[in-house]
Amino acid sequence: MSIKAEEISALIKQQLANYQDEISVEETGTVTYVGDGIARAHGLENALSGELLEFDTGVYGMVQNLESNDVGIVVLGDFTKITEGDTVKRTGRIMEVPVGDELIGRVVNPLGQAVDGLGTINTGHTRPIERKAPGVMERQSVFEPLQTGMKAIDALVPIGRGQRELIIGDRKTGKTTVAIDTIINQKDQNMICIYVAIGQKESTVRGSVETLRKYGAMDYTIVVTAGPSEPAPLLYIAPYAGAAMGEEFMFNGKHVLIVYDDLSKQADAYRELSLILRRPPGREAYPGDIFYTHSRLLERAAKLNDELGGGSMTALPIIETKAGDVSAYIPTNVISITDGQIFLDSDSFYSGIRPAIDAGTSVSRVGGDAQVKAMKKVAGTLRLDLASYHELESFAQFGSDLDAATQAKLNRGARTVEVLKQPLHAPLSVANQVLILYALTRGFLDKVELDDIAKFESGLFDFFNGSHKDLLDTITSTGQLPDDAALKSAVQEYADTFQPSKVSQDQAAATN
Amino acid sequence: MSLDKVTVAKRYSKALFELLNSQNQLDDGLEKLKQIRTVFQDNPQLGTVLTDKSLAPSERQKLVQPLLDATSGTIHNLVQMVYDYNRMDAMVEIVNQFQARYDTLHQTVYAEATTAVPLSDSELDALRDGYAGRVGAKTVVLSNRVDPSIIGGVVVQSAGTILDGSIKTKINRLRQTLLG
Repeated sequence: MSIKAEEISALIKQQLANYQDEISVEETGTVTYVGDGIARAHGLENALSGELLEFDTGVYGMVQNLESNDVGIVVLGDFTKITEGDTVKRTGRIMEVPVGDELIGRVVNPLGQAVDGLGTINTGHTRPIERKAPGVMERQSVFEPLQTGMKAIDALVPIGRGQRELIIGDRKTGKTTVAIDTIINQKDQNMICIYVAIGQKESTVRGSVETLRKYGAMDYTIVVTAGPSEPAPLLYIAPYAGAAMGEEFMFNGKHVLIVYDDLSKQADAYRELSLILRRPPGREAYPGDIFYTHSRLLERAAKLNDELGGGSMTALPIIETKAGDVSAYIPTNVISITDGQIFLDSDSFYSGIRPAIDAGTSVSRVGGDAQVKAMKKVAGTLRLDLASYHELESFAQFGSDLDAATQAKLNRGARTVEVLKQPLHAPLSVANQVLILYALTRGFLDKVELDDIAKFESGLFDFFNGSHKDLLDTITSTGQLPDDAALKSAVQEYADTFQPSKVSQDQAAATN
Repeated sequence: MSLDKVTVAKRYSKALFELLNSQNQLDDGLEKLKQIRTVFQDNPQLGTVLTDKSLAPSERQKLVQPLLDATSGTIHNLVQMVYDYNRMDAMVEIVNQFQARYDTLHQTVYAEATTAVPLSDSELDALRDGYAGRVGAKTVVLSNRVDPSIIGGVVVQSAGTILDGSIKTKINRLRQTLLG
């Protein structure tokens, strides 16, 4: 290929035409203190709160505190090269991140710069990271379902598009897994997912990205990561940056799912920088505006009205509790902000119930309206059944003689718990979920051994896919339960041919 | 929480400025204050020694006595008061803040012009007049600093603002336009 000198010089000329020779006027201040991601500067008398400043070293900072004699600045980057006496310039801009389709499939830091080694991202336009959430008139009620692909969630705590559902639990209870599985299930659902990893180990983030890539989920996902070795200000702004990226799609009429993993670490980062900025500490040493930090972030999740394109942003914030204590400061705050929570229990997790969703304490305040009709029908009594099962279970441990009704209830309860178990990264379609829950609630599983439930389930799906695909398609397309008689006879047909792995003594006795 | 020096100095200087202004003694007062500042600047430890508890009260009194003897009227009262309230370490800052107020009243601006080559007096005068017109000041006290690394042009630096007309900055901007 020959170098076309004329073309290049024409291009340069064009760019030079835009260059204006003018004297630059800059307002400056002098750095008087630097440390722990924070700088203070004298001067900068006209600086605005939230304004972006530039240090001598080229690092940017954001104005956080405006005080009578100086300005408190959070440094967004390497603060070790800044020294006392450096000048710091106003830029007149507020903090922005690049947004747009080019980000999809990429891993970026909270400033929107690529960290996946796949080259720079040129999106062409940006959005401010802080934006007032859509108001009352710009919204409409949540009515479309967001399928997580997990039976326990879609049946018991359904999530709607535009909802904010908290995932809460101790460490190692599968919080991230629930979020990742939900992202994986959004394939071909016209969804754009944003996974914001705040203070997660770089190796963990790498693992999550690999999982997403393996299941083809990176094609519609943006990963925003602020690792534990980044300074606290970057961890603090990460969720806002993610929300700004999501809003761009939402205001273009698309559906967005954003996961904040996790907000406890963001609160810790904000506490750190607030204390260094000498803001007065409040409960658990968090600053006074920690509630506002989370509420203004989660309020940005919305279902927009049809004039604005009807886009939505569903938020799944994650909070880590310490030893199951949901009454700590941050958990109570975020529980009260969100439209419900999925509570993950470490005891159930270790006893093999995975996902370890605690049906008693998990709720969804708005998702019920968005639940598929067919699912509503089959899962209606599930929550009550489980509650009474857990109640009976603790009593049944003492007595040996139980009447038939109680026995049946215990039997059904144990099978319900078994059905709600699900392996890792294996989301199910709504139709399949409805099918197995139908089989459960109509008693087809009562005679199946507990160990055989999983086998029965997968066999049932194969059978329906092969012989009764029309019934599944009806559920998928209409959202309604198909003709009861047809469905019943089809399930019966499978149940009759089902081969248990071993004939137990009870069953043998029963048949005699 | 104890107040920092700047906050303290602002309060003292404001009160002093208003008092002297009502007595029409601003110019006289500023001269005396500048002399006091020179004393403190020549003896950097004086402020701290008079504030902390390293000396016995009687010895401290001995140190401050010459200052009290040398002054009279409002300035004498100021020194006595600042001493009584243990704020002697903020004295220099009080004078600085006082001067800042004085300069604002008289529309005086201090600026430093950085150039690649030394400026002649007539050039400095022209720059001074131009800068005075731009910022709306009556008097501009301009100092000249030579820094060959800016290649050409002038950088005028004043409290809080930089007017940058240097060749170095222009080249940098041109580079950003072409590369960005």
